[in-house]
Amino acid sequence: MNNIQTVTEGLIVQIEKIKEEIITGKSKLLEKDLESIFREIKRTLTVKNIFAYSNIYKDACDLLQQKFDELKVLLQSLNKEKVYLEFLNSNPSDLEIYELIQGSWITPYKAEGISIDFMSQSRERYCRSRSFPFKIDHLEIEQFNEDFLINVPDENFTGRMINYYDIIKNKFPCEIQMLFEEIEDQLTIYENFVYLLHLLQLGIIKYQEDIKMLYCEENNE
Amino acid sequence: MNEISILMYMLSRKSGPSQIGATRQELIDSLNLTNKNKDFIFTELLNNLSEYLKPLGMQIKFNTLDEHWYISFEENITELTKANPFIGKPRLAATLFCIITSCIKNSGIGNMREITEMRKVKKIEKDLVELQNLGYISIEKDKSRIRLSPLIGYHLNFHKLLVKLALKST
Repeated sequence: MNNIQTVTEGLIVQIEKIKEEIITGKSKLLEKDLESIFREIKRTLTVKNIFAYSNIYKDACDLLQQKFDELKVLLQSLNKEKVYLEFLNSNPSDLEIYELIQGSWITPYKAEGISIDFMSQSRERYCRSRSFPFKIDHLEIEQFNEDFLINVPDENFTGRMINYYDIIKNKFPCEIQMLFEEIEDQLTIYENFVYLLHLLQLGIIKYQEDIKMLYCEENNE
Repeated sequence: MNEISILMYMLSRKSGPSQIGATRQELIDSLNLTNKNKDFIFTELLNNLSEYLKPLGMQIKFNTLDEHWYISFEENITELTKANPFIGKPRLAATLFCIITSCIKNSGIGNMREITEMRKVKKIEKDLVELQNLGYISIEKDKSRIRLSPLIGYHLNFHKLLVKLALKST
């Protein structure tokens, strides 16, 4: 609890100090680091200090807004040539110029190790295979003739399954292969096998595993 | 192969002795952006890539001298790697500063006599040769005019330098 209070007070003092320095002209807001205040708020925000922090956050946002305004004014007033010449006219030493430039260096990232040939080829392949925007070609609807390959039976599945059951129920009890041995057409075998599986699943036909026989309760009764 | 791979390749390639990355048009051509929203898609892709690069300590930058987009390391990483090419040679920094000033004053072309006057030293030839060898400037044959090469735009943050100068003068 004390720790939270200390951090909160620390932030308030930090913001007040910045405000005072700006008002008295000791320093400029553009030189001040506000990021650390926001980082600290984010790091230490808890349910307990949320009310106190809302005021601190508002004050920090006000300072940030002022900083943006100052930056806008600065950018508007910048006259490159004048700024550079004014600095040179102040007779800076070589070391002074060196230190001024020192913090403005950039290190570009160069991926010279990448195989340029491979990347170029990949890029060409990738670009060829795509185009913007994607065009969707709609299929033309054609009228099909009556001899269409897949004929849908008129009867529903359950009806056909019951018909099949009526045909085979007098054969029970029997072995499974007995139901198919007289059928030559593979499609009919497959169709009948599907009916059989469903009949087993529904419990209309039973299977005695130890003697490998199919039977049905109806016959037993 | 996707947009990010293409952008990474295009932005980090060394396209010439003093050029890195690619222009906006080169990037748009590489990505095969041809529809009317190409500018929006281009900006979106650069923003997305920028988000990917942040955790790696890198950022996307624009070189105003040759209008190339490229990738650079963030400032704190640059400081760690000591990117300053003038370490131990403040005179080179001073001469380069005078060249930049003269170029700004004369719409991009520095005047040798003016630079010598600004520099306030008798001889700057040695500095000029060193800066030319570093690839930062090019000197015309008659040695009367000097230009900044695009390479300096990749290595020096002009905007930051200007803000620092402006802050110094206020």
